Order: sequence, then C-alpha cells, then structure tokens
Amino acid sequence: MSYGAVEQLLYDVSTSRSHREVFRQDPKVAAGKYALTDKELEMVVGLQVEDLFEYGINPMLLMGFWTSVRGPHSMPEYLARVPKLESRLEALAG
Amino acid sequence: MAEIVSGYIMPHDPLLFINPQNKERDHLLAAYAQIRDKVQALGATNAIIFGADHYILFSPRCLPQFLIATGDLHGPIDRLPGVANAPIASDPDFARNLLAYAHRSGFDVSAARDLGVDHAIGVPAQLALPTDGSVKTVPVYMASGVEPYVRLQRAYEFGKMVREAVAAMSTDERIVLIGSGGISHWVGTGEMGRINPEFDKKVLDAIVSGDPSPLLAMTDQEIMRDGGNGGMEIRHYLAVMGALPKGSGTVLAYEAWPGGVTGLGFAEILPSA
Repeated sequence: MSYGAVEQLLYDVSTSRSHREVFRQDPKVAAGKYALTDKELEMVVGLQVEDLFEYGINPMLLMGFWTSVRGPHSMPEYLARVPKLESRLEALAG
Repeated sequence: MAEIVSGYIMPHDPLLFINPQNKERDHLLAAYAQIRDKVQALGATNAIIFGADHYILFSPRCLPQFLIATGDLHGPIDRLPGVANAPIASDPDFARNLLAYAHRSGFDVSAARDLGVDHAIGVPAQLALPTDGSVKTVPVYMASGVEPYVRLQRAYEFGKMVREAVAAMSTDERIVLIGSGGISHWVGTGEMGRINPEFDKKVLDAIVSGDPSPLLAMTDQEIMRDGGNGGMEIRHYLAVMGALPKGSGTVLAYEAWPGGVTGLGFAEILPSA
C-alpha cells in the first residue's frame, strides 16, 4: 500500500506542466516512476476515479488530477462517475 | 499600541469569477468592494488572512498544520478571470513578529519566506483590500482542505493567540482579520453543486451572535455531512472569532448562488466595546 505515493503522483500531474505532459503522452511510463502497487497503477493509469475516491484520495486532488489530464470540459463525466462524500462517511461509520 | 479594528469573512469560490453559466453576480462582487471600502475607512495597515491550501501549494510530502508567510507575496497563482496574479503588499517584520509570538505561545507554526498564494488568500487580498498596497497582507494557512485537519478548537485558540500577539505589539498598526472560505460546498465529490442553506445559516447565526460554541460543538463528520468537505473552512471563521471574542457580527451579503457551488457569505465582526 503506497497511498502517499499515489497522492504525490496526482499532485505532480495537477501542479506541474512537465509532469502533466509526460502523463498525457504515456501514463504507464509517468506512473512507473512512483512506487505504486499493481492495483494503484491500474487505478491511476485508467483514471478510475471511482476506485481512487474509495481508496481515500483527497477529492480536491482527484478532481484537479482528472481535469489536468482530461480538461475542464470533462467535468460532467467526472461528476457522473465520482462517488458521493456521503458514501465515505458511511464507510467510516461502519 | 497595535489593535484589531475589524474582522470579515468572505468566500473565494473560483466559479464566481469564471462564471461558466453567466449568472448575475454583480451584487456579490460588490460585497468585496464594500469590505474594501470599510477597510480603507478604518485606516487599516495590515490584514491577517486565514485560508486553506487546496492541494495546490503543499504536496503530500509536507502538509503544515499552520503556516505564516513572512516574505514577498504574489498571487493568486491559480489564475482567475478578473483576479490578476500580481504582487501582494506584505509586511515581513510584522509577519515575523507574529510567527515568533506564535512559537512562544506553543503554536509550532511553519514559515514560508516567499510565497505565491492560491485563491484562498489571493482573492481577499486582491479584491477586499485597497489597491494601493497601503494594507499589508499576512497570510496564515491552516490545514482545512487536506487531512490531517487542524482541530476546530485549535483554530479558535489560534485566533486568541493572534489577539494576544497584537496586544503585545508596541507599534501602532491597525489590523483587520479575514476568514476566507465558502460556507457549505462539496469539492470534487459526487455532491458537488449542492449548497446547504441551513448549514450556512447556522454558521452565519454563530458569527452574528459572537458565540462560537455551536461551531465548536460540531464534529468533522457532521461538518462534512452538512457542509461538505469545503465546509471545513469554517476553521478560518473560528480564528477570526477567537481574535474578536463576543464581537458584534453583521451579515453583509449571503446567497446560495446558482452559478457556483458554494454558499457565499460575507460578514463583518466588530470588536466588542
């Protein structure tokens, strides 16, 4: 489990133009520079926002990562896919 | 002797500036101008602005609970229409004094010696302060956007510490405090776009009454449930309230603006007599 490395990758792609370009060109190569598990790699490379959210990734960071890669025009798709915060709170409550 | 002359709360919702649905917003932008006029009329010299990083400035490798910027400033670095990324007047001596007082008081605050601020600090600094640089900004970042969050009580106590720090200054600064943040809003979650006017009213009622206890009594889970992850920014309001105990609050403007995702509240808190 390398949750912090996943967030670092998402942060780098969201805030650095050079990281963003590398990720857009070849997500596997870009993500390969971080110590991720196979499952984490799959979630990141596949832009699986549902799973990344459930994994506990900060929603602001997740949204920033998505729009950095897919563009602001893709927000409707993001919002259609990303789970509600309510679901995370329910999970915490057990 | 230095004194706190007023406090304000205000939002920094980027959509208010991007305005993708082209909704009427002049009355909301006017609230920033109204506060700017008030700050000018008060003869303020410094503004301490409490805000949250939105995972723009601080990476997962270093997440400060509190941070005071003590050097040159510019921003907002996340550019918004109508809010230029421009230099922001700062007061390094004042900021270093505040930092030192915080350390002596048991707040192990981080420092930034040069900082490009994000919209949490940049919007109030550029829109609610005089444009001539006569009011110097001191940014205080709190962990309100990224876990681990500053505890509500600690945010309030930080405000109390600021009050004591100002009282200990032998200079004649006139200081305004700004709590920057939306009220209810969900950012990056499936609820994004939802606004909860009931939660917003509860927060604004507490500000008007000068009684922080209804806010301090909330758990983080309750805030997230009723006010969203963005609602965690009420910590910034609590810091202002902590510095102005029993202050007299007035709501200057409020709207669950349909063009954005945030309950937009503007309020003034005057010191108690």
